[in-house]
Amino acid sequence: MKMRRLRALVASLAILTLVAGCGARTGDEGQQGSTGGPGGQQAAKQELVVNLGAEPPTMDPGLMEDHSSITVATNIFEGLTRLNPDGKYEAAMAESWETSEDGLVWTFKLRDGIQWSNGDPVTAHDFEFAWKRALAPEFGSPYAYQLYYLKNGEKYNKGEITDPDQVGVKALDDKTLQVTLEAPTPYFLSLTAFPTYYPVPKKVVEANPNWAAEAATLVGNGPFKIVEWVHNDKLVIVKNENYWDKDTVKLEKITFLMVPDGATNVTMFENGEVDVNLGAIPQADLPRLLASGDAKVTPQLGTYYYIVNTTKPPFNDVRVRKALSLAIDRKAIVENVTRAGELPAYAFVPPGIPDVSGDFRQNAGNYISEDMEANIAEAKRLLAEAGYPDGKGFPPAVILYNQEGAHQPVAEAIQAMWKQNLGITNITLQSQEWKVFLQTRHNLQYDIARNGWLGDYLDPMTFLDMFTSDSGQNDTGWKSKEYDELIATAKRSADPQVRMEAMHKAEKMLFDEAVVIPIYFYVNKFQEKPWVKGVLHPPIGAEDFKWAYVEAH
Amino acid sequence: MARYVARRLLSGILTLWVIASLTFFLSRAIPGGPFDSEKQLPPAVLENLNKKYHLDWPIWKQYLDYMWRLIKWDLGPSFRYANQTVNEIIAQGFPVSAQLGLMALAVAVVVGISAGIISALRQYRWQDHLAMTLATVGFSVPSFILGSILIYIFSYRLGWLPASRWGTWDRAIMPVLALSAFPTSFIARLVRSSMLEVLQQDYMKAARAKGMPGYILIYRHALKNAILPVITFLGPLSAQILTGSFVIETIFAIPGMGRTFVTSIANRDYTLIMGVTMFYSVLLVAANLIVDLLYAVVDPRIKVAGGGE
Amino acid sequence: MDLQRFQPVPREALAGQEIPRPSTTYWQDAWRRLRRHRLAMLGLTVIVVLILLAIFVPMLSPYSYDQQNLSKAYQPPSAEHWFGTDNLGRDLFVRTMFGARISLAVGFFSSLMAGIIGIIYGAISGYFGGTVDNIMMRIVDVIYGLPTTLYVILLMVVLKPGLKTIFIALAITSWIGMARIVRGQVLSLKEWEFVLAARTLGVPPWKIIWRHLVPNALGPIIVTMTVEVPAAIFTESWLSFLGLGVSAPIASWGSLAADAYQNLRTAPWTLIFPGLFISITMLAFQFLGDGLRDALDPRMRK
Repeated sequence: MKMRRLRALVASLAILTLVAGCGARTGDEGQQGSTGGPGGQQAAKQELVVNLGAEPPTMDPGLMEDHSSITVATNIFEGLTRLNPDGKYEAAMAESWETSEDGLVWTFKLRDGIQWSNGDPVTAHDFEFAWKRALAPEFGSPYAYQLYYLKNGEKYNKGEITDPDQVGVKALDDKTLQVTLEAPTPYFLSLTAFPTYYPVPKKVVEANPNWAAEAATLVGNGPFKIVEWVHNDKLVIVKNENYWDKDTVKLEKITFLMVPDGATNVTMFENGEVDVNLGAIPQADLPRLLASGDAKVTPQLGTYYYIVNTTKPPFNDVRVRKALSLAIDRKAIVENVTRAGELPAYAFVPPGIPDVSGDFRQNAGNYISEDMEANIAEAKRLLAEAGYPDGKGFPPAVILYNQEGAHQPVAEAIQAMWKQNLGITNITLQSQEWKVFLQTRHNLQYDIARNGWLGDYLDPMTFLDMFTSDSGQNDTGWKSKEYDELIATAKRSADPQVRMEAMHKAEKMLFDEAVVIPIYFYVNKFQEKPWVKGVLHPPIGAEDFKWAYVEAH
Repeated sequence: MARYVARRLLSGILTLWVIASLTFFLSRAIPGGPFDSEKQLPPAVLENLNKKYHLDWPIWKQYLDYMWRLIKWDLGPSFRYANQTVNEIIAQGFPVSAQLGLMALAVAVVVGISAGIISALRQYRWQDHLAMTLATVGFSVPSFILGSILIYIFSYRLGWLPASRWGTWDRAIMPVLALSAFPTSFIARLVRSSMLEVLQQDYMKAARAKGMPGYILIYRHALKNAILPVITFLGPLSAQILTGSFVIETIFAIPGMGRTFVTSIANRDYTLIMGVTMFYSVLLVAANLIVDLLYAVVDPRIKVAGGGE
Repeated sequence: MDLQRFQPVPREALAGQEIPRPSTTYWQDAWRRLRRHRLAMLGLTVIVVLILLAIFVPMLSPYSYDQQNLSKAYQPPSAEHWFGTDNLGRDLFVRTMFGARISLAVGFFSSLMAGIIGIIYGAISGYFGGTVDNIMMRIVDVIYGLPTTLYVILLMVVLKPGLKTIFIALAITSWIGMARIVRGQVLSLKEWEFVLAARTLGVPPWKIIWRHLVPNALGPIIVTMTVEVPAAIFTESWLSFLGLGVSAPIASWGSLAADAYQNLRTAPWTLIFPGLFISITMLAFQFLGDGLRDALDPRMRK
């Protein structure tokens, strides 16, 4: 019920922002069509060439943290659940599960006949082994914190306890996995589809710790299995005959390429050298490709935003921050600068996250008005109140960004808008090398900086707990006890009513205090030949080819 | 001579040690660490990672440890490519880059020298103007633009060549062209200008007056002298070109080690930065030694080994 | 050769032996010949015109380099916008001319730096040879070997971004190629009879280098100096990319071209115009360089 609403919303949002006839809509229909699996339309040769855009740094689910690795992993591994074309986390390795009254103990029952690609059975022990391995301090998993929801998970990872058996995951037998959590986590199911929660083949890994380095030694449990991996060139996966749901899988073979350059990607796509391009697309080409249907977009659970250093005058004045935020014409930015059908962001949490009922974003509405004229008038008034009428006397300030991606044009547009709408003339731009940028921003050595966040799971919390006082992600310098308390309340409670209310309040606070300046909500941009059907481009997680097929063409 | 080579080898090792030390400390002095990303890692996770890669050791201990491993040419694990060692990454990438680089070098030397000779012999005539205009374009248009233009024309418009990747001869044409454009142009210009100088020399005039055939003259006298700056230029160039070009390998999606250079720094992948830098530096020092030895072959008057004043 | 058997000639004794040619100095002579070199004059004229355009177009144009018109993004060249518009609807003609200021400055400076430092360093290394040469060339090897990005990032942290910082970064790297080339030439030239003669006559080293060796190595020197111009123009854009250089919305030719290299399919003019100007500048420098070489080369002196 919730999910259907979400889907409807996602689709309608897509329509709102896209040139009719392309984009998410087409993708969604493709997904639906494929689940039905109209066999007659399928091409004889079920093979795809897909450009990943980058070499996956690792194929070990416990070590991966980047998109290209996760994309491949999604197709060659499988967790307890799997995100399906309807946007639901459906039973995958697990057949069913139960939750205790307090929401703390989850018991998963594994499916019968599930096997690794080498023929060994997948057991609950493989899960227990994988999760404890990822949490082990000496293993050094960058995404270990995704497992902090498990009881004692954080303590074990921090080295505060040394006995892994105290971690809240236990294989009761080969088929039963019991998970104990630190706190009730309503979105825990969505986490079990995440790579850090994948099982790993205990026998294989114990025999060869470097099992995930090459195709020859890699063993998976997903719809496909890896057969060839030429580093930095290609990675080939074929249908896994040992997969429990192999009848659903129609593709016989996917060749992943790793072509980084956008212009090259577009050329290869048009020449038919690739069928699906998940890599870069040049900014200039996007509108044309979107209009012709050669490029498509689907919503992505993420927000592109600006932050200001709230510890530094004049940005320590909430009126200044509000004025700066109000004077940005978000619609103009998505339509004329980024131009990929992004949604202008008038609030922080993107649409597509379920509330108690309905959609979190829709229920709360906008925190910034869409009426630019009113916004500018208000912004001018606030700025004058703060002591800078028509921008006079506004001290020099710098917008900081990193050069990769399309950050510079956005910054240039915002600089011009502040000049035009507020009369602030001495804002300059500064690009920095990526890691220098991260450090400058994190150390609060900036005035205004760009920022972006992609959700980790389907809950508003993934967008809100980053602004707590002790969060490493909070680069704004803004600290609020009240906000911390709201987040803590939401984290403690198992009652959806209490949680959501607290999170709505928290988000509103971000705008009352103008802590963040949201610009737009991200989209997945990709190219896909018209005969490629059923590829899943979900708002979180990675592209899934389980349901994909090639239509006769 | 043997003493000279021995002395050069010794100073070469010293050079490598200086490069290794400077790179080691520079890479750690610049802001940002290997595990920084848009999503900040929790401190505990970061600590575990630092421990895993011994980044929690005092810097002098890390340095000594690295130097010891460097002597054994054990370049350590990559931080970014968690399952691979730096030795493996170089072993995978270098053959591809070297293959591409050798082809480009061959083109640059053959075409560059021929064009330079023709230009010099036909100074201020159309052959000269054509060759030199092409050469100007060759070094004023950098490889990322040239590569894109080639892809645009031959793949996008005409559809004659595959746009990227490596392995077959048709995939090699565009990257070799794009990579060799600059050295070809530079060599052509150098040869032309040195040839013109040599041709002005009295002994050349004398030889011509005596009626020595043109091509013998060119080969035996003019070219031998004109080649000197080309050899100088080829020293560091070959080390650079054999270890791959970031731009060319990115645009044409070639799995060489050129991309590794730049991305390793962007990732602050310390061991990989060190590994590729040292690999390149060894080639560089060797190439420059060969250049100096070649000097003596080309121009017997040169005494690089000479004890000085 | 046993140097003890030679006696330095007293300076006074040399006075009468200088070739009497008082009417023109070396430099006057060179300038006269340069003026007669048609292609060189063409090159010089083009460079002067470019400088004038860079100064006056941004002052006189109805558009400014940073004036946006978001609804007019990526317009092809027209009477209104001669070079078309860019991704934010800015006039590319003005942006290109404004960019010339930075790119020409960077190109000149870097070429000059390569010339001055590279020649001095290379000539000293080559002339003295032996241990001096070995040490000086190993230092060059170290600079070659160090990843440039590393010390550029360090510079960025230490210094403020801007043109001055760009110049410093360029000064560090631009001369090493030149130094190697000059050193190679000097190694060869110093063994020639005329150098030997000068040395026996007791001419001080710096004079031998300046009067005899450098003029005879001018060909490769000038080629290397001209190549340094586009190299510097693109290095600047890369340095700006890392955060060292001029900040947006000011653009240089290098950054205009670098931003547009993927635009060939949709907005080719964004790449063609800055690219064209870089090439024109290069041709001009090359013609001028050829003329200079002809004019300065002592062997061509008649």
